[in-house]
Amino acid sequence: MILHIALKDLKIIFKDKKALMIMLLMPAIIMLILGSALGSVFTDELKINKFSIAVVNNDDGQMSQVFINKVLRESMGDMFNTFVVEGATAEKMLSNKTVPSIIVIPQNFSKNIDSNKPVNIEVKSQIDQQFKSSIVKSVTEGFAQGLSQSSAVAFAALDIFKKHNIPVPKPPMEGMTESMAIMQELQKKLSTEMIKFNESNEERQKNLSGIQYYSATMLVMFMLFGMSQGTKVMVEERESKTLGRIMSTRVGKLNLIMGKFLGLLFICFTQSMILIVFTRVVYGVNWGNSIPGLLLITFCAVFAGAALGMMIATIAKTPGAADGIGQAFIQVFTLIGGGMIPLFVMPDFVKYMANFTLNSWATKGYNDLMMGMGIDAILPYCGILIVMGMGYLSVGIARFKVE
Amino acid sequence: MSFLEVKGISKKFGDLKAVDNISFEVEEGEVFGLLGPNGAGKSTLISMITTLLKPDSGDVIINGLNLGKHAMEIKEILGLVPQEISLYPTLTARENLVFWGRMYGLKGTQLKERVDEALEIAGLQDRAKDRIDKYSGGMKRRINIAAALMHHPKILIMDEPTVGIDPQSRNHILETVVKLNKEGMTVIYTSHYMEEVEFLCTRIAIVDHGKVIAKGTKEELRKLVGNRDTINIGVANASDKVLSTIRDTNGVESLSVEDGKIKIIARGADELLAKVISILDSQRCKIQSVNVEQSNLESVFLHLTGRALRD
Ligand SMILES: Nc1ncnc2c1ncn2[C@@H]1O[C@H](COP(=O)(O)OP(=O)(O)O)[C@@H](O)[C@H]1O
Ligand SMILES: [Mg+2]
Repeated sequence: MILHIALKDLKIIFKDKKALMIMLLMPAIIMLILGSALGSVFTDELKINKFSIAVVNNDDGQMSQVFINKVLRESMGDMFNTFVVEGATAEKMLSNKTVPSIIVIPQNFSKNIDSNKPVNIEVKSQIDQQFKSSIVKSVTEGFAQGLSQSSAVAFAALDIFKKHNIPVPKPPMEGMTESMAIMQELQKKLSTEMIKFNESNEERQKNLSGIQYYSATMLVMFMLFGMSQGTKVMVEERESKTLGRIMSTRVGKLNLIMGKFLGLLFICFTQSMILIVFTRVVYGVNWGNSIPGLLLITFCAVFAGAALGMMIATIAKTPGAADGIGQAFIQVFTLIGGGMIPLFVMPDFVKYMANFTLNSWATKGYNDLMMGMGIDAILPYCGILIVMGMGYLSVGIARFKVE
Repeated sequence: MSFLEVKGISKKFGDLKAVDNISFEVEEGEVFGLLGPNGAGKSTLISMITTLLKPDSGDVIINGLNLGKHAMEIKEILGLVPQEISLYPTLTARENLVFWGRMYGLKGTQLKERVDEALEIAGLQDRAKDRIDKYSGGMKRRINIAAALMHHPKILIMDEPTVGIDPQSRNHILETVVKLNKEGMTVIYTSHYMEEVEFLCTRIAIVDHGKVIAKGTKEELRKLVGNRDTINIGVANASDKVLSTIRDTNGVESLSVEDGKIKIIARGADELLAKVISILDSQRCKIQSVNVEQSNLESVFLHLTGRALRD
């Protein structure tokens, strides 16, 4: 029965071609965007027939410019030509099928980012251009999501910096948003710190490059996105009212949670593998020599992440609450787990707190593998991740209620 | 002992007593009706009988098994048709039925046979490969019922299975219930449609505000109203004053207004009708229609609560 619940969930996802495409493209796209934000060298090897898209920009701030010029024109420049036009023109282009998709950046987009409010960019697409419009949609969603995440993290970082008297960077450019400045400054600071750190005698990180470190932390952050998917599968079951019917059959809540968990595990694992292969091929990131080790640590990290998702899904009373709690977990875990700022520049209490995040253990595991260690080196981390996952699952099962 | 016994069951949501000390018995092979307006507590009661909700107090015994102790065994003999369509909208009817069959532990050729059988009962064999979200409301309802029959339950519990559908699908569903019952299935049928309950059920419990306010066979319930008739008078402009004059007239048991119609329950309609018409006439109310009905479950409810069954 567990297996059939998992298969049913997968079937539902596989039927939704658009969602599936976004899900499989999302890891690559997020990496592409974060990669360009991290200033790494860009390889233009992606081969797709170039197409055009139209952008309507209702925002008068810096962030929309970054999105248009850096992300759409630079990072995605090989995939499509970007035209900035008026709303009516864009609609006409869409209905004429001149473009497969148009992107509408809302008013106050930059302002909202700057004040840490949730942001959203709308994408309208022709129905018969699924593939192209999925790419546009994932780029846009990835940007909006990544941006809100990282600006939220930057905000939190700012807080910690102030509390511990770490100097706060000043915006280097007129009109640049504060959080953007912090993010940029952090990255700059980081690359120098990273070099310094690599040169020091610390054994662990001796041969780890910045891009390797970030590939790992971003992968883990991405697993947490997967976790929020997990809350969705539970919420959907509730909303389609099928939860009640399931509970009226012989399937107990244990079977139900395990079934959904299994389906989620499969999806998140697949997504993570895509991301690893993608960074390997596109950026040449070296994930180490141990493929079994890589599979194992990925499995364990995904296990813990998916379990966390199931726990949140059973605790949250409404879809909104599930989303809110999920976001909070992503931000806190990414921040204190060393996702944006490596732990060694963090105050001691953060280092201590990091032990409670799955990010920190998973990142350690990936880093060890990247430095050429074998599967035995990561076994302790795997153990911790599995124990964490079991803990989350037990809480989820204990807290689960039908009503 | 009865096939199903509900003994003093209660459920509170905060301060609201959704189900308040309800008891009734259902005999093997009968169609038992739960009739009551929206919000009466019917769905809450059914959630408790089907183990989805834990009662605050009281007991349910099905087929000699106590619900609290033998939930698993009870689930195997019980089929639930939830009030809301509980199917996966993007899966086809067949895929849905296969999934629900598996959840009941069916597999192999038996599963396939049961799916075909369920599709036949729903009368939707030729639409089996269509997604549920492409179905009409009535077709969804039919699959919603078929899914509850996959494991051949001994007792089928239906929560308002005909809400919001076309007359054709409604007839199909009512006929299905009759047919299943003829084949020996015990049914609990919940509805706020008096006609359906009156048509299908051998015995009925009328529920209001979480309580059973009357129960028995149709005949027993009709006796409660006594030899009372229902007079429906369509008037264009009845003032409150006119209504209260009529209410005070000798022989009027209760009076309500529904869709511009005055509904009067009375002893001896013939005599009263003349009086009422003369009152309306003297107040220059325009009478559009008059009709007199023998007592039915609607009038029983009106008699007991002073309100109409449908709001
Ligand atoms: N989960 C719940 N939480 C709070 N109140 C509820 C809940 N479920 C039902 N109720 C309330 O209990 C009463 C009975 O509802 P319900 O059993 O759905 O009635 P019916 O099925 O007869 O229309 C209603 O007033 C409803 O608002
Ligand atoms: Mg109901």
